[in-house]
Amino acid sequence: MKKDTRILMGMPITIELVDSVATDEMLNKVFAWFQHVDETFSPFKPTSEVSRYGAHDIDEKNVSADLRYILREAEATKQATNGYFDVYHDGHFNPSGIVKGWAIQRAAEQLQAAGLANFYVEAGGDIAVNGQNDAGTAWRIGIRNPFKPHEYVKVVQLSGQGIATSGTYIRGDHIYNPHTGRPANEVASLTVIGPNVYEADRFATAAFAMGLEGIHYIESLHGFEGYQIDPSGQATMTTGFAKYLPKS
Amino acid sequence: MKKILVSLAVVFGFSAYALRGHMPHLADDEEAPLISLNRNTAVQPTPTNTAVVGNTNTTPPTNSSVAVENTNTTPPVNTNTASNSGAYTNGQYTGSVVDALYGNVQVVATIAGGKLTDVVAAKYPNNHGHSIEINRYALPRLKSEAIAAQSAQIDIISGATYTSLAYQESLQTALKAAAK
Repeated sequence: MKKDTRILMGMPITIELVDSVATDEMLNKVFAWFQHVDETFSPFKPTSEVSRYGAHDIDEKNVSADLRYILREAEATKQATNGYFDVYHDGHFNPSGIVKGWAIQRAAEQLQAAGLANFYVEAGGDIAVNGQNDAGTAWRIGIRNPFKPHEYVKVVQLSGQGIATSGTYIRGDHIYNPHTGRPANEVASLTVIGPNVYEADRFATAAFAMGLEGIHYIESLHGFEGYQIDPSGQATMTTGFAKYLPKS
Repeated sequence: MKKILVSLAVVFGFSAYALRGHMPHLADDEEAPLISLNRNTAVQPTPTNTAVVGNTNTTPPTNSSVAVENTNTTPPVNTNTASNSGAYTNGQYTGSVVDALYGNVQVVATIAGGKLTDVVAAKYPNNHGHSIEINRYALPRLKSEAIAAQSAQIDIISGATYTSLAYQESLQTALKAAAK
């Protein structure tokens, strides 16, 4: 079993490879992939392709294949979610809400191609799981308590799906949006389980932007389940969510 | 003299009659207000709390409707940037909204005595002003529960991360706005 955590892309990334044939080289290759993603897509690095594209130093004709793919996928996601998913924030280009899930998904595919069947790849709370843990059961994943980061409030068992959580931590008072008069943070945390982590991530990002409606949007999507926690600690789940709860 | 008085009375009387239509009508049990010749129009209160969303170049009023909260996990503020006394203009400055990958980060920096004295996190909604067209009535009612800490053994945790980098970036933009 090989396992390691490294800080890349501004967040901890953890990879666990259960198969006995797993090697350190496979682990290092996946981390190198995340390093490459960081250098290409980081909005905090002025030299990244994303920063240069955002500053119009390069145009759409000259972007790399990866960025071209992300741009296309971002547009498709924007259409699919009625504009709730948008890589432009206040005029700034930032595709992080789709890049993370895509990068984890690509990492998982890389490991599958290397012959592994039992592993997980986790980056900043989004996870791709394959096969079983080293105890021989489905991977057991806890959903973090948005009010107490060291606690988890729900356990799901996954094998082959992707899970992504969008949210912010809330402590204390409600904040109100002066434009709408409604609470600014309607949702403390929204967890989405989907056929893979890329899909889970992009729809979790979009649904989170919808506020309390988000969970209903996930309910309307075939193949996706969700668990949404509001600022008062009340959780709402989609009708099919129970299938992911531990059997015992 | 008498003619002047009568004329004035007519003028006043006619003015009072003409202005009657502009006075609010009183119910029988109401008292008459002080006579005002100004039209009594409803006044829209001028918003004193402007949205701080996305505004990096304006100084928000110090009594802002955006409640700010102190987080205890803030990375240590690099006060060396403010060590040059008088480098910043006093006041409160709101940094840019920065995508922390999950949720947005926006900080409010307080400058006093020309130095950075406080940084707190402001919250910012993801609000696009769209309406979703989902036929809610066609969907089943969703199950709800109060969250509770779990103790069953797990392999991994899924949760939002509050990246310190986003925090720092938002702070930098706030300090830029504060710089003289």
